[in-house]
Amino acid sequence: MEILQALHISKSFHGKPILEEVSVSCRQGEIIGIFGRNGTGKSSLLKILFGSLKYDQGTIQIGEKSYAQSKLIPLQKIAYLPQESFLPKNNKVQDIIPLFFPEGDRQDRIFYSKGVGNFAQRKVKELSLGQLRYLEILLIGHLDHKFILLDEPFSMIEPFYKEYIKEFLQQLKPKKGIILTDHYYDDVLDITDRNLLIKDSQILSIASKEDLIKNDYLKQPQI
Amino acid sequence: MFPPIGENHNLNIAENFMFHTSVSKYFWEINRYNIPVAIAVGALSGAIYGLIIFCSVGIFFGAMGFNYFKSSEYYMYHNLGYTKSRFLQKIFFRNLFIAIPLLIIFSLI
Repeated sequence: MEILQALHISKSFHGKPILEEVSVSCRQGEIIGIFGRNGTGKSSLLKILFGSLKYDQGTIQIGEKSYAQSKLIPLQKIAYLPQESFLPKNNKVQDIIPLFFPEGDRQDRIFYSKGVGNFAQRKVKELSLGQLRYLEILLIGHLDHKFILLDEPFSMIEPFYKEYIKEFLQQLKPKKGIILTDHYYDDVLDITDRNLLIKDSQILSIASKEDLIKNDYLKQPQI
Repeated sequence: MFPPIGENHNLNIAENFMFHTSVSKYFWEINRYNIPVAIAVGALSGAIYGLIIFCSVGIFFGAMGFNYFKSSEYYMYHNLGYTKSRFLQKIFFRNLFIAIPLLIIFSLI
């Protein structure tokens, strides 16, 4: 079992620090949730871990080995679901699956995944947001990558597909390390093993919903 | 239940196929913007200049067009392990492979 570690990561945009000496680790077999208000650097942290955004300073380790960020994408150990859809809109679902998986048996795993048969013939642009997000998570989840980073997997998704996604992530958990971030905190707390909050460029451990309230991420419920 | 997730199905043939499929898709995406530029230059300045553009700066026009209209699709390729620079290298050599014979033909005419 490997561990993905981001150590002492700092990142600023136009001189404004977003992340200061932030460290996160995720081992295969666990799901970690990251919360934070908009603009606190959640997505930036995921992009830094994926290798598509350069950090100002820090180290990224997988297992015992440190990797330059430019090596992370070719290494194929970390998959990433960005906030925006990354699939070509004019292609049919059935034509996209072979782009990811040339082998027939692996294509079948996607085609025979729950619910996919209902939209496999459709173009990506014709899918509902739930179908699209679910398909993207299925595609990156079936890659051999040991870690998956998910940026807002539950946002605006109909409950039906949310349940599919949660079930699929639980199925992936024994073999992969998963880090996800979303404002839909109940859905995140449903499936995560531990949770973190980014606040004031620092990362804090969160044990419960009450901690989110204490740290001003959620409002105190009105009585 | 979902079908089981595979441990390691890396096959060289399969990887090659995947790479070539992805490169082909990207090749058409880039040249969709590159070819009109190369044709316009070719019409104004001659076919040889058009072909030179096709396998040089035209690729960067193509990459700019792709960046502008479809930048989020890069994440699909990144998830498959391919970086932008590796792809652009491949496109450069493919376009060169197409342009050289045509350059020879046009220079002989």
